[in-house]
Amino acid sequence: MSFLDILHETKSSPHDSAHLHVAGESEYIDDIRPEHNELYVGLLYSPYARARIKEINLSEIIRLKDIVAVFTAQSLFYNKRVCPDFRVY
Amino acid sequence: MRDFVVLTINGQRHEIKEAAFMMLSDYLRQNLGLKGTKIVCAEGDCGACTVLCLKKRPDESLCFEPINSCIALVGLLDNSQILTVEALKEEGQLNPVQEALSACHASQCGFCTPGFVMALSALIENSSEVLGEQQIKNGLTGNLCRCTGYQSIIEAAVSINKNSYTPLLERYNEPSLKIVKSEACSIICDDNEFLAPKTISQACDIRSKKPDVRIVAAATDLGVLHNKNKTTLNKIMSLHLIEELDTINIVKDRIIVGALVSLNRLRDYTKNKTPELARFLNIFASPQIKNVATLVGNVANGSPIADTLPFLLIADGQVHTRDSVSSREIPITEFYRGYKSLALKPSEIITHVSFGLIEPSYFFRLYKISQRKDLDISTVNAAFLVKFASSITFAKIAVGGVAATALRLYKTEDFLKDKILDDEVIDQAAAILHSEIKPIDDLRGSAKYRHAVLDGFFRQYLSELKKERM
Repeated sequence: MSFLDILHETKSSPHDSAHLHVAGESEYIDDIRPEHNELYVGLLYSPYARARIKEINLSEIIRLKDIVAVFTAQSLFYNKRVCPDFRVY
Repeated sequence: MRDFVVLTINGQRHEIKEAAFMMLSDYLRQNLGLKGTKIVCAEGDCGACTVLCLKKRPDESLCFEPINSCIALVGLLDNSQILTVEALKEEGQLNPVQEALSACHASQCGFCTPGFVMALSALIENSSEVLGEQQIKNGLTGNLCRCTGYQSIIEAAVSINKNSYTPLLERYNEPSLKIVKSEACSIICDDNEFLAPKTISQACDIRSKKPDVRIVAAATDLGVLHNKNKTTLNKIMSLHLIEELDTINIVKDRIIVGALVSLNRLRDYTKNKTPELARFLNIFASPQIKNVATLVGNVANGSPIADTLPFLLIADGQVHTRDSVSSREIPITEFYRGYKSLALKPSEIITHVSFGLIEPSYFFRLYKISQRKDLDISTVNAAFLVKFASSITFAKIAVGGVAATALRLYKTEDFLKDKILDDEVIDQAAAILHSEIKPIDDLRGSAKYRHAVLDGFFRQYLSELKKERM
């Protein structure tokens, strides 16, 4: 059977999860209760829509008590494995 | 006096104290584990949080109406009957609304889908015929989808089989709700205070003794500010138990609207009496917002771009206030002293807003422009009215979004009096109109743009007038 034959044979069928979507039963990340001490990642944006980044100074952030690790573009680009710029734990 | 509010959610009664200060969407998801209700924008814009709320129509019949649960404080929904998406399945099977959306490929990521299902359920529930495409679009202006596309959703809505649909009203109806309605409510915990008096005089009493308690109708604006950490809704008085504020009627050619009357109810009431206002209210906001937001709330919030203000300014609008000792009727033209600054004494509450019926022979139009047509805050809005014979007998012009408050443009009105409309008169009038406004640049538009828009409204209005009356 050729690919075209298969295409002609195919009937469109509902999305695998459609019956869950319409009933509010699909589970999304936002619906999962956090575990005790679970880590989560937050994104920090530049306050300027168009600007040149001269320096990223993490010295203030390190002192905040709930921060475990910080990733910057640098840590994603230059390390073979993704490693944070610093670790507290 | 009770120290709790009562909500019936999916047929189950809940007496709620501390959680009265939560948004309903958070309460559903965190406290009840009903996670089918989604939160995306948290400002009543996207509709993913849509749930149904049981309302009584003026003829005493009941109906389920869609509301945004993300900006609905639980306390303000005291005595309500709420249905969430989890309530729809019938004996474990998808109901016809759910079935249609599934069969027509109307979901992709599915995150907005529960909101669409609920908004569509309200449409099906409250319509006796097969849904038309325009009706569906109007009913879904409060729901956004970013991946499926609306066409398949509309196709699904058209295809819903109403014959096999059992109305939710038959499945969920709790007549015992009335019992607690007779009791005033006061919840005080930590820094939070929720007060719901039974009478206007009790409300005035609270107002004079507790100046930091805010009167909140539906929080469709304050709820947004609360979610964005720009205000805190922790000291609230709700007037929802005061039955005499739940009325709309005509007395001597004036429509008097109580503080509890929603904009949708105002729209229905004015459909034949002030059709231009009813038409304008269609693009005021989404069904979810208009089912709970009130005219009095729009006036009390006092935004310079509140969509009802230009109308009230030309329709002899009056703000009816009460305090413990006296009552006043303040003309809306004298009600705003500056940006969100009201001519209201600290002891006073607004009980009603009234306006005059517009003489059908007057030429009357309302305009608004916003970045999208439905469910958006105006950049500029305006109301124009003239009495016209062969010349203009008198004119009334009011605009919003071009100064710190909504304004009447008296100089332009005076100039137009007794004028015969020709191009020269129109240009001169437009020049005066521009001199009367002081718009600012902000995120919705520049001052220059606002001048241009108002110019457009004015000339469009006069050309419609010429076409119709000359």
